[in-house]
This record gives sequence, structure tokens and C-alpha cells, in this order.
Amino acid sequence: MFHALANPARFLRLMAAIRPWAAGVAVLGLLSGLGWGLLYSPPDYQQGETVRIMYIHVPSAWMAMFIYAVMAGASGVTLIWRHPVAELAAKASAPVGAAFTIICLVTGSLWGKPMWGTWWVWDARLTSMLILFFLYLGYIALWEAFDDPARAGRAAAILALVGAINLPIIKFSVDWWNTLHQPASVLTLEGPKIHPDILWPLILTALGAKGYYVWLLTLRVRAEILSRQARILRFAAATDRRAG
Amino acid sequence: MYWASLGDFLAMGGHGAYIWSSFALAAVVLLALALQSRAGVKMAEREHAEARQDAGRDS
Amino acid sequence: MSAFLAIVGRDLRLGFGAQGALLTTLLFFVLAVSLFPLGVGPEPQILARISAGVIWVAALLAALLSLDRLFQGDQEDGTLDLLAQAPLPLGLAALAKVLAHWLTTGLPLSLMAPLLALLLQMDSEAIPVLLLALLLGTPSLSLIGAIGAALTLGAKRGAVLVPLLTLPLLIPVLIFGVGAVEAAAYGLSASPHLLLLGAFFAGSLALSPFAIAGAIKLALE
Repeated sequence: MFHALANPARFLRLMAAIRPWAAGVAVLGLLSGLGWGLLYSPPDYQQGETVRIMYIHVPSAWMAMFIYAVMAGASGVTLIWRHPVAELAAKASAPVGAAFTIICLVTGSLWGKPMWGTWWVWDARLTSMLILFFLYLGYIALWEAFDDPARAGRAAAILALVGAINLPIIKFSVDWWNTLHQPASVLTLEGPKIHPDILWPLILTALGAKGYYVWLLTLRVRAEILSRQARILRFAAATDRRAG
Repeated sequence: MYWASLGDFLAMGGHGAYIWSSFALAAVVLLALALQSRAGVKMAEREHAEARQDAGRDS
Repeated sequence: MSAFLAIVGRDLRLGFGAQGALLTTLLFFVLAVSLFPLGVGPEPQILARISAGVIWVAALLAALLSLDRLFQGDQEDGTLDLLAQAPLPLGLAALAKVLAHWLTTGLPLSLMAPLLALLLQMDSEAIPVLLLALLLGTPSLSLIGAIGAALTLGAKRGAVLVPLLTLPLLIPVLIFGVGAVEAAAYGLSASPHLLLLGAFFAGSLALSPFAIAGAIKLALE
């Protein structure tokens, strides 16, 4: 454990360097994407103005999945190369991914209510998102379940990888389940056919969201590294005291 | 711009409550995360400085 | 091979014994299923409509009940350390324990299910498919459940954590399992669902030993 964070300074510097750029991307992307979506894009002929909720709902769905993929990749790096910063990046990402999942689920509910009069629709995407939310919760819970952070980190890494392998299968089975039970009127939360007036705000917002995530990550991983280092220092000081 | 007036913009064709709640929720969650992350960094920096002091004192 | 069978035998003896998983699992299964008519009403059409889902969900939960003890007893008395250091690869040793777990939970559940299906007014054509689907699906429950059990060895509130970690991963089994039974009830072919169940089982069988062994080694460090 001592060698592991022996040279965190490089990562701390890297993160500090990235931070302002990420913040810039976040602000520009989110403002332009959402601004375009709210002010300039057309309503849907079927759904009316509520289609604008899509500009929050869809990018947050993408982020929830993207962040899980990042977590899984970082977990793989953790298990194969035992790289401590990868482990911390995964840990730091999980609450962010869970937050995007919640945003996706709630905005999905708010989108569905005016359209179909119900607060929840068991369509394929929302159901998969709900399951993804449970996967995030389980991952976060596993980190909290052990006093030894090294043990917690590796266990969580295994869980994330198992979840990542399973996730496509889960999505497939939920899509399958949804088509089996498709009611007469097709209730899905697919937005209107993607055409440029709608695609560009979505892409801009998604880019902004990624910038936001990276910015958050630089902060959160910094906190994790410093916390770990503090723990190591305290541990070393305690053993020195006992020895001396 | 698509909207004729600020009133139209806020009303969103009668669905304003749903649309603005969605945007508000997203804003609140993302802001809360940002604040919590920054608070986390400050706390970790403090922890780190204290631990450094302690370690320095004992060596 | 004999080492493998020895592990299976030992776990079977424990599982079928007085404090074993068999009784708790079956009892929970029967009780849980029996609650549904009480909660939902005795109307035969409604019960028949939900029978596949109810039986599958109850089977899932019943099989999960005994999971957190799967490795815990062995960790406490040191057997797990021995297994990790034995010549038999840890993945195989884990598979042996999973096999024993299935023999004491999934298999009995599957055999009991047709009886409960009758109670829930399930279409008689669907009942053999239910049996087959459960036989194909419950091994996956034990395999994936064992991953959760190994990951949470010695964790705080491990018993609560195991369902949280495992149930989302088992949703495909639930969906394909119920799908098979409902297809049969509607007179359609259940084979696509059964094949998918089989594929999921094959995949879990191939991959979970690695995850389980990795998690056990982690717990023993």
C-alpha cells in the first residue's frame, strides 16, 4: 500500500491541469445545448413542448451508461495492474453515475405523465435504467461494506466487471420482455425521429455533460488521493511511534 | 427564436410544470454534486495537511 | 475429481441436515407463493395470469436466502483457507460448493414448483415447461449468487448486500424463465426462451468460477 500512492503528485498535477478545460467544455456544452433545445428547436407534432424534456432525459441516460463503462474500464485496470488511481476513479464516478440515473428516471416520469397520464411507464429504456440504478447502488454499498479500503476497492472492481459483462444481457432481456408485453399503443419514450434541429442540441448537451463529469472527477479523485495519503501518513506515524 | 414572448416560453404550451421541473431537478442534482465534491476536496486537503503535520512532528 | 466430489458430498450433508438450506428454502418458497392468493384474491384467471411470475420470483428469493452462508461457515472454521491452498483449483472447489448449493436449493425448488403451479391455477400445458425452465435457470441463480456471496464475505450487513448485488444480475433469468412458461401457456413455442436460459447458464458456468475464486482470495488476504 505504501508504494501505491508514493507518487500521487503526478496525478494531482494532471487533474489540476485538466480541470479548467473540463469546466469550460461543461459550461459551453450545457449552455449551448440546452439553450438551443429550449429556445430554438421545434416542438414535436405529437408530444408538443414536453419533448424538450428529452434534452435532459436522453443525455443523462447516455451519461449513466457512459460512466458505468468508465467504471468498468477502471475496474479492469485495477484488477489487472493494481493501479490505485484507477480504483479511486471508479469509486469517485459511481455517485455521479447514480445521480445521472436518477435524473433520467425522474425526467422520464415527468415526460410520461403529460403524455400518457401515468407517472411511470415500464418501457425498455426506463426499466433498464432502473436496473442500472440498482447496479450503481450495489457498487457504492460494497465500497462502504468493508473497513479495509483495499479490500473494498478490489471487491467493488470485481462487481463492476461482472455487472459490465451482464449489462448487455440485461438490456437485451429487458428489450425482449418489453416486446413480449407490448400493449396495443406503443408506449415508449423514444423521442421524435432524430433530425438536425434535435440532434445538435442533444450532442452539445451530451458533450457538456461529459465535460462536467470530467471536471467532477478531477475534484473527487483529488479528494480520494489526499484522503488515502492522509491515512497512510497517519498509519506510518502510528507505527513509528510504536517502534520508537 | 421559437418563442413569441417570455410568457409563452414559461408556459411551454401548458406543460411548463413538467418541463421546468425536469430542468430544475437536473440543475439541483448537478449543483449539489458539484458542491459536495468541492466540500470533499476541502475536507481531504485539511485531513492531509493535519496528517502531514503529525507525521512531521514525530520524526 | 475425488476432491471435487468430496466437497460436494460434505456440503450436501450440511445442506440436507437440520440447519441446512433445504428446509428454509422450501418453506420460504411455499409460504411466499401461498401469500399471493391471499393478497391478490382467489379469482382463477388472475392467479393463472400471474402464476409464472409469482413462482419464478419466489424461487429467486428463496434460492438467495441461503447464499450468504455459502462460504461463511468455511471461512470461519478455516476450511476456506485449506481449499484455497489445496491442489484442486479454487474455481473448481467453488463450483463444487455451488453444485451442492443447487442440489439443496434450486433442484428441490424446481421439483416443488409444479405442485405450487397447480395451486395457482397454471395452465397444465405450461407446467412441464415450468419444471424444465426452473431446472435450467436455477443453476444460474446459484452461480451468480455465489459471486455475491464471495464478494461480501466478512462484509458489514453482508446478508442484506447479497440480494442487492445479485438480483439485478439475475433479471435475464427471470425474464426468460417466465417467458418460457407464458409462451407454453399461450400455446407458443418455449424453445427460444429455454435456449436463452441455457445460454445464460452456460455463460455463467464458464465465467463465474473466475469471479468467485477471485473474490474468495480477496477475502482470505
